Amino acid sequence: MANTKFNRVKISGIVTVVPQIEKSIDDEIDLYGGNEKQIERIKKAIGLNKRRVTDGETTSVDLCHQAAMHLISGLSINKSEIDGLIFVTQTPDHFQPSNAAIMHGRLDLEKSCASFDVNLGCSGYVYGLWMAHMMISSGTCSKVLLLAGDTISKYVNPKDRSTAPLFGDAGSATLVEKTDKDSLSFFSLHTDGTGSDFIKVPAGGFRCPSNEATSIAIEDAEGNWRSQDDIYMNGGEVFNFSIKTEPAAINEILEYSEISIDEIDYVVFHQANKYIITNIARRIKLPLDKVPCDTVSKYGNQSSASIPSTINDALNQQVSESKQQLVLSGFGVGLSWASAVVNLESIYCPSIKIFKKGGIK
Amino acid sequence: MTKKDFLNELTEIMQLDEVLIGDEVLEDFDEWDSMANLGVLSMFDIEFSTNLEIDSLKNIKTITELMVLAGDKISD
Repeated sequence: MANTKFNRVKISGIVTVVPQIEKSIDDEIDLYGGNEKQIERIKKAIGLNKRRVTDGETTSVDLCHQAAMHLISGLSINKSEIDGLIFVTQTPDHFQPSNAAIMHGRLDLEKSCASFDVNLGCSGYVYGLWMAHMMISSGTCSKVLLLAGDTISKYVNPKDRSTAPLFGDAGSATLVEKTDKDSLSFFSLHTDGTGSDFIKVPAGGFRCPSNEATSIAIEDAEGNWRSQDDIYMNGGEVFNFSIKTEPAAINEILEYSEISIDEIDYVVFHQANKYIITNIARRIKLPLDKVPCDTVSKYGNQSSASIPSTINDALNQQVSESKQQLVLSGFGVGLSWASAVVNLESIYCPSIKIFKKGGIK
Repeated sequence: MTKKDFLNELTEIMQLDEVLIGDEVLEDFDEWDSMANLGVLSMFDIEFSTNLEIDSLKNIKTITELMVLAGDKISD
């Protein structure tokens, strides 16, 4: 069982940055054959509406860099004290070097700082938090900068209804550090690789390098167009996986931590879409006022950044002003899922920041 | 689960404004779509421990027929 518990490690700040370009499914009525009623149903049922996407030049490093700059100045961190850097992404600037190394250079961190990428998507933020907690608990590090950011919009075919209206881009930065006060957290990590084909970019790696043939879009049985270079998602299988796995995952982390749902202030799910989240919540009888689920309609499904984004968007006041006990749970590509119980007490947590082209001071 | 609870669940799954009363024809609703089907599969799975195939919902025309799939798991 990959379950574990930590003490005296705390999260002290979270910042999320989204790109400046906003898209809306109202402007994409052609994708739905001009059917306005269908768009209304999608808005109401799945909660899709607006999303934020990057331009051609902006990457996950750029988004996370601005998030990190805000975090460092907001918490008045001495950069020389950052001795761990984790970058969770599936949309890196390059295969080599890692985003973490690029970011280490941009932030001008100490050479004694351990830096590496983690290739995970929707479960990645919780996995990253778990690793940061381990690095601190083991005594290796005292301040870990966790960056989680993706630009999945660059992977979608604009004529694929199963992905194009769904994904938004975002970059987040979280500081995890050592504390002398008691601060308990609990983690539970899972994988099911038999579902590795359900969310996939078929070409572009070494199993199937990109070439002219992989770039040709083909229409599927549902009338969606995509090439082998584009992201594919089997919506039905992913829904089934989420709705079966997540209720059990939430029950498992609560049982393991011996914390009852009444003691939890909020459950922050990966924001796959509103329909999935409300269905999971209904199955475990979670009151919906404990389950933020409007992030998707404003920013899109932000992959690894969706959990921090939801905290910055919906809970920033609560976690800035008081102590909140949260369940965090990410699930998706892999298939991979991870849940945690964490306590956020008066942390630095501004509302969502918009990316500034040309950088910030 | 009582019939009343079942109808409430189905109303929420289909996101209807008015609660279903049980004699409706599902085919008449635009909301009886692939998403609603997935919601019903998850309800059967978790509430009734019954694994339905999505194809088994394709021939369902009425709520009465849907309730038959749950067998004795729905009481009056």
